[in-house]
Amino acid sequence: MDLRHKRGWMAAALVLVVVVLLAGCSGQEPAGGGNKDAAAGGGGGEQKEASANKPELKFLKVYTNIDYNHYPVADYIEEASGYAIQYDALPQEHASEKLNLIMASGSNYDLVDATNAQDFFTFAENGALTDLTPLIDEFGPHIREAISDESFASASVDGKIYGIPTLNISYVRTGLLIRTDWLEQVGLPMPQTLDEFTAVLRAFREQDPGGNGAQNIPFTMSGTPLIDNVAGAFGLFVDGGAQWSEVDGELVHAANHPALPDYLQYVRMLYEEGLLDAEFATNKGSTAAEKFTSGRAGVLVAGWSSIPGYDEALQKVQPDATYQFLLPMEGADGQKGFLKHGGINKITFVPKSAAHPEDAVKAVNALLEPETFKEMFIGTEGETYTVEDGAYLPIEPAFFDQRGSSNAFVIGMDEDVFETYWQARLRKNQAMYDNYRIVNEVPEEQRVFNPLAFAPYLPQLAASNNQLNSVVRDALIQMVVDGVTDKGIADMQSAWKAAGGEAVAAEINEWYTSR
Amino acid sequence: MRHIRAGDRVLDIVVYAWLALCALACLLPFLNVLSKSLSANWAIVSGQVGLWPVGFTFENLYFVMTDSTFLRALGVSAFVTVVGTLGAILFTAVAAYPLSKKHLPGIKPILFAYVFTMLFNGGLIPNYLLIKSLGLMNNLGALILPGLINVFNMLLMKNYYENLPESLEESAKLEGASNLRIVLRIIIPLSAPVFATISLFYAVAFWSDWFHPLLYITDPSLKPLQLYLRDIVLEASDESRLTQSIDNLLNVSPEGIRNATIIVSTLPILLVYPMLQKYFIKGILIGSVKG
Repeated sequence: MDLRHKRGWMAAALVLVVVVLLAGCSGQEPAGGGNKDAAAGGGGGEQKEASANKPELKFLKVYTNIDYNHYPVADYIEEASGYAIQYDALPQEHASEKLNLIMASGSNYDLVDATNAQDFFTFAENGALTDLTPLIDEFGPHIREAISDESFASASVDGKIYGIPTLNISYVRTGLLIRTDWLEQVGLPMPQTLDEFTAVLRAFREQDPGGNGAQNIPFTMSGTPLIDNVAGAFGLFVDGGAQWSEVDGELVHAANHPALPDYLQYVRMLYEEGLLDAEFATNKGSTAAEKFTSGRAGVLVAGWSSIPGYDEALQKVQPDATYQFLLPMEGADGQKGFLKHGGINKITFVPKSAAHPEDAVKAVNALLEPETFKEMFIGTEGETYTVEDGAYLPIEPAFFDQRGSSNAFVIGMDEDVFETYWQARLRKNQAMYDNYRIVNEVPEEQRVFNPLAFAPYLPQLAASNNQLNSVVRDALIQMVVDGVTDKGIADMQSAWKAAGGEAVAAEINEWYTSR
Repeated sequence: MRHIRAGDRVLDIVVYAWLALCALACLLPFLNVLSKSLSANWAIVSGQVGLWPVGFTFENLYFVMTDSTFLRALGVSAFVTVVGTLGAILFTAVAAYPLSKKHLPGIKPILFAYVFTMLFNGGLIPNYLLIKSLGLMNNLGALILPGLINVFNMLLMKNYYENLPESLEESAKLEGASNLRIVLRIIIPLSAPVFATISLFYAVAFWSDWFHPLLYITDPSLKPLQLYLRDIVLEASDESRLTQSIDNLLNVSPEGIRNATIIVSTLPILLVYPMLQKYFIKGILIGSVKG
């Protein structure tokens, strides 16, 4: 046979393997595969030359679903600051672990975003970060102007600024979406008190306005049965993720809140009467949403950021459906309100091992120049947005193509104007924008701030909080399903203690009273 | 006799029914993802998509297949898999063949040194520091080099070589062939089945590697498919709804796109598998008969 031919082929293959292997592994830029210059087109190389006197900065970001290096904002930043920036990104999973690994082994990043304040403070206390105070004094006039002392305090250790804080917008996140066309059919107005809400749910159950028969669900939800708005009627301002609230100047976990038993009795009643979805405990977020968007449920606990998807689905499935968020409902004692979220979104720091700490601060400073910040965040007037009565309206699709993810590039913010700019992105979807306003434009006293939003790094809290929340969630679900008893409440509280609750309570109250 | 046959038949039916059920249990979730990838987003959100697409559309698949981030991740994975597998076969074979020659002096301690690494290794941090000081951070070499020799695969190959009739080499030697000549003209041509099997093992390992890129790659343009996929799928979890910043939640990719990404990422390995499957069976038999 053609054995010789075969042998030649084999030898050639071996040589090829060695060559490819060497080529693939020797250079910083492997051949083939992920060749980023090829993907970036010709632009990348030229831009780097343009700013020859300014060094290229290396920036470690957190995960978002955009490609930082090829997003339009990255080009703008380079143009406006004169700094070419190479962005790397942490994975979404195990981000903290990886950041620690990178920091522990001596990173060469000039700037790093930390969304986990705990990581930031650990690094700062271990001397891994550059003290930015003198650099900001010298090179950062715009940084000083934009960021309040209060915010700086949340990124400082012993009076030294170790990071540039970026705030979250403060907002009410969740509410109760109710089918207003169902309300009309059962002839009831929007419920304004908890009793009216109960009456509406009963009417939904009895009159079945959706014509769903056995599948009719007056009220559905998923997750922890701590329902924003309903809980507010009992003076309880907590949700599945934020379970600490203030009682008489002291921070108390939901498990120990004096209003919890009454609240729980109410939710139990909803469940027992068949008003609350019998499957609420096993619903995932998407299953609860399915029930609402397919027209089987009358009320859904929902975050407004999910509304665009729901809206599209509901319009298709039930074109006549109308819905909106309920306003805060009044409880027996006249209490009402929502839980408001906010606080630090991330802290950007300069590792001690950074090659260009001065330039890093200069670059951040350049981006916080008010006009630059505006253009970086929302683009150019007439191109990506228009202004109407002081409100910023996006021009589609340019705005969402070029600035839809600009938030990922923000390093510190012009705190006075940020929210006005930010609202432009909510206009992506009218239903979302309208409902955002419903829950976020209620009087200030009805939006109760999560007291831990601006908490510094508290080690006990960081270590045990998830465990506490999940212990309490399980106990709450069990009581809603099996009945609320004094023993059940006591059992929950002792499970909470067993999970380290008391140490956390002591720790956060020490901070809270000395704040 | 008839009774026994009837009993056999019943058993057959039970066995086949059970196997069919198992196959369905694997197939149905996949079909569900497939039909979601072909459905309109509204139909997925309202829970109408089961095993058949609702609001049929190619838009999701089109979006994924033209998305530069996805294509780059696919390219990285393909590169790592192809180069990694070729290199791994070369290095594994070069280690396995001499180790199969028991008469060589000092072969036992060397073999022991290999086996030792199967049981003990430096651990995560030392490995990380090693890769870092080799300058392989953000370099695809970090995904390929450490995987070039898998000791288990090497032992499989060594067993294969041990089972080759010694007389083959002896006769070649009698004819005056040098060692190199024996390797090139006899051993390599005889290695096709073991190469095929081991390549498949390596290819699957390189393709589905998620942990090494998680550790060593932060440059988004070098992110392989598995890492990309994990990020995309996680975006929509209930947990991330509570912990993500509001702006990230506003930019979560639609359900249909996520499902389409899963489908498109599965396709390459799905296409390669049936063609190489027969070697898997051979591979299991390799080394099983000592002769």
